[in-house]
Amino acid sequence: MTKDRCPSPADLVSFADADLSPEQLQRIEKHLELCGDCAEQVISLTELTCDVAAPVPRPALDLADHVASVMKRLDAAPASLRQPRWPAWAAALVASAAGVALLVAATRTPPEGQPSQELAARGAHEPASLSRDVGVQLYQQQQRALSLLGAGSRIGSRAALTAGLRNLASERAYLLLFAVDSKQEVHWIAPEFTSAGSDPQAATVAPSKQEQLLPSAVVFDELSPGPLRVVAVISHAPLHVSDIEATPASQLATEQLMRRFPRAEVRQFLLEVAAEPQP
Amino acid sequence: MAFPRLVRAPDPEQDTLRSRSDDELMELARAGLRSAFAVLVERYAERVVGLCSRFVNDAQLGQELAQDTWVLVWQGRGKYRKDSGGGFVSWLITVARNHCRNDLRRRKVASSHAHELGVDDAAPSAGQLEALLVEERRRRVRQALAELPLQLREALLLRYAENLRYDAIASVVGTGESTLRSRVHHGLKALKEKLAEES
Repeated sequence: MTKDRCPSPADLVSFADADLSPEQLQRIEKHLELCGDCAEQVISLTELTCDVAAPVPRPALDLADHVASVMKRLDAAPASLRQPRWPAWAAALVASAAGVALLVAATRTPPEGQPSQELAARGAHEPASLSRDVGVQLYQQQQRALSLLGAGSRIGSRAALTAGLRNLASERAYLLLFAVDSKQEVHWIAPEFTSAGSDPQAATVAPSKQEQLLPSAVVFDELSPGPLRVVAVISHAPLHVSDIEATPASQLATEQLMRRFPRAEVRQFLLEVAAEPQP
Repeated sequence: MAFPRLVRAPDPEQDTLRSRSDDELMELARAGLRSAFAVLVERYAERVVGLCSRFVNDAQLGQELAQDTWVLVWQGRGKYRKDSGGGFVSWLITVARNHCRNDLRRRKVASSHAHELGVDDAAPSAGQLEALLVEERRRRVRQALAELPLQLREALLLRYAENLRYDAIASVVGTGESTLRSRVHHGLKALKEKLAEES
């Protein structure tokens, strides 16, 4: 084979792809020994295909976390698959057949410039590190925006609530975050708790200097108007939903929870649920 | 208010499960054994994250799509047939590919939001400089790839990134092998042209 009988570009691609018969491969290989142009093209093609195969740069995958996240989501309804980051919020808000709409299973950072003040009434018996290192901030999700909820903030009964978490310690912390409405009904924010037959473990608060939002926001079903206490129980070891569900509502006051979980930190956020206008 | 406490069924030893084949694990998963499914997730997590990240050219989104893929695989585990051709990996890649395509269609965004390598201001060594140059070249290739028509992009990714043979790609995409060869050829040509335009 000489230079005036160069293989076609398609043949060179197939050669670089090793997608030819042994005879064809051998024939082109011989040609490449004589033809610098074709040899250069093959080298360029090989480099290009290696670049196509190169992985997208990303932090090392935390395999255990990844597997745990997947396993946690297995029972989720199909509608709770991760949706396009923002546009699907509105649709997801509507889809609360189980009483709770799970929204956007993605880790997001709060909007830039959003203040991140603590509203917590902090307990006195907790280990100092939890008190110092773990921050919890409530947000209301409205369309594409997150708005900070401060003490006394008024929300609608169909508000989508989520929380931003920060853990400056080097070890994980765990969070139970729930609301107690004026009728003493308990509504869960974290962990996701959508089935009475389950007993989810407290949400993990991984060490992070950046505030991370919970993987989901929730819309409560039948939230009674009036005062709403949102309670955060932060611990070094994971508690479970049942630790709270097994407690009579009359014993969910901050002080009682502090006594019950002396190694945890208990914080309280006081909000107000506005009465919905009658149709 | 007290809910009944969940009584968790004991799982077989993970080590025993890890020695099982993909098909055996899927059989166990079909029977509802979550720990068997967890072993499959563990086994192929990196691969699925890599595939999804390349498809959407976004590492974080890729990881989210990879999680979705596993949820879809779990939900569709009853449909898996080990003799359906290509085996579990082929089926897994098919689910991931379809989900990524759907996501791209929904968002119609293919631009790069990828986590890029941080460049230190300090003078890099010769080795670091070479690595930065290679990474910059690859970034441009990824960007050009993201701008290709979806059919060409997926053909290139499945062939080169997933290193699938054409018959396996045909099984994933549902297109004949000759069409796929043509897509790979056209894809490489288009990619070279885009890169040449840019430079």
